[in-house]
Amino acid sequence: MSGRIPDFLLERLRLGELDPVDADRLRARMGPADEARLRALVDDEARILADHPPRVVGAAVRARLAGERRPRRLWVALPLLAVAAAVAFFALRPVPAERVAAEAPEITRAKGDDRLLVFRRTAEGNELLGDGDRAAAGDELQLALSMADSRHAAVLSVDGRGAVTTHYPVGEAGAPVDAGRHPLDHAFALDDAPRYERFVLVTADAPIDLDAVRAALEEAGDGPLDLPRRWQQATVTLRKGARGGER
Amino acid sequence: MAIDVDALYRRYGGMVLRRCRSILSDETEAVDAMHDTFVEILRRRERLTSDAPSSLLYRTATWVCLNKLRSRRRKPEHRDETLLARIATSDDPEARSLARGALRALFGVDDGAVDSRVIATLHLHDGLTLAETAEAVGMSVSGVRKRLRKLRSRLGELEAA
Repeated sequence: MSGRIPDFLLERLRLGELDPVDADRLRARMGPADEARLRALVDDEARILADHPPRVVGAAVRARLAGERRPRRLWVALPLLAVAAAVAFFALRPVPAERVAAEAPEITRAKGDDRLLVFRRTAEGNELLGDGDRAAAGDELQLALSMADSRHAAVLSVDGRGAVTTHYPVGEAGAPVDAGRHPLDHAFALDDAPRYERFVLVTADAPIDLDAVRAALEEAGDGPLDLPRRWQQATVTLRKGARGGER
Repeated sequence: MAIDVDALYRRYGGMVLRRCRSILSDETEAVDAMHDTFVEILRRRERLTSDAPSSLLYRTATWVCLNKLRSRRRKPEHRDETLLARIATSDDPEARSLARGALRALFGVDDGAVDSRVIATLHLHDGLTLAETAEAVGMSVSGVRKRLRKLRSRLGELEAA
């Protein structure tokens, strides 16, 4: 065993939770390197709280604790649940690249110009929806990522009832998504949740903590989404109700 | 007791995340373990006392991380990891019986209710003295010594690691 002061003792010293006699004894043992370690803890503390804000972590913890009790989201199932179907959705009714570029919603752009695309199936083909567009229960939607670079990505949504759905990735965070356009492997129809349906793309250089995103989105609803600064986010919020040509 | 998890995290989150990082050496797993740690604290909130909960959080984080290490498939990459992996996967009858009672291992109040793997990590990996380890887990020094002796006999050369 080396004479190095254990991290735990420095942590407790920093927290002021050591017995005063033990604290004095520990301080007497500390050399310059230990003092530097203690200062580094303080600096690290600030970074951690910035990267993992208390409100986000608190919400993630509560959500994880309540996870098994939370009612599941009631998407209306469509016969488009396979990868092939999603590919066909685009292959049969391709959206011209220039149209996508022209009609791409003015959303907050993620790093490297990664974008979240929300398409609605129409009689004529696919319609690219933008932030604030109207949508109605029964609208058939397909999501796609347009990635400028290979990065980790997550796509989630929250509706007016506060129900959060993870669209990508399915299961735990996986490998980075390659550059290019990627339709997600299922299309779906909007249910009758009121007021809004908000879709969020989160991108990062490292795997994304989905629980944290879920919790933050649940708290945010259609308000500001508080995520760690190292993650980039893009939002498309569809307003629910009769479409009636409103855009 | 009622717990304000945001406030608890604000005060202890840094310590917990650093602890998880030091054991898991993987940022994503460490953040996940940090969340799990606070979840376990919330689940067993009645054990949380108002005075100096750092010990409880630290050993909870240790326990959570050891369980994650146990379920890892990849091989340890360096010596420190090897020691931790061996502790984590040690076939401790007490740990096994305690696992059936989930966190009885962690939050129990007598010597028989603390996971030996947590004790071993604090003493053999972290370098806490027997007295410091005993204080951290709320046991007597002789109780800690006895647990380590049992664990060492099962792990053979662990003491020399």
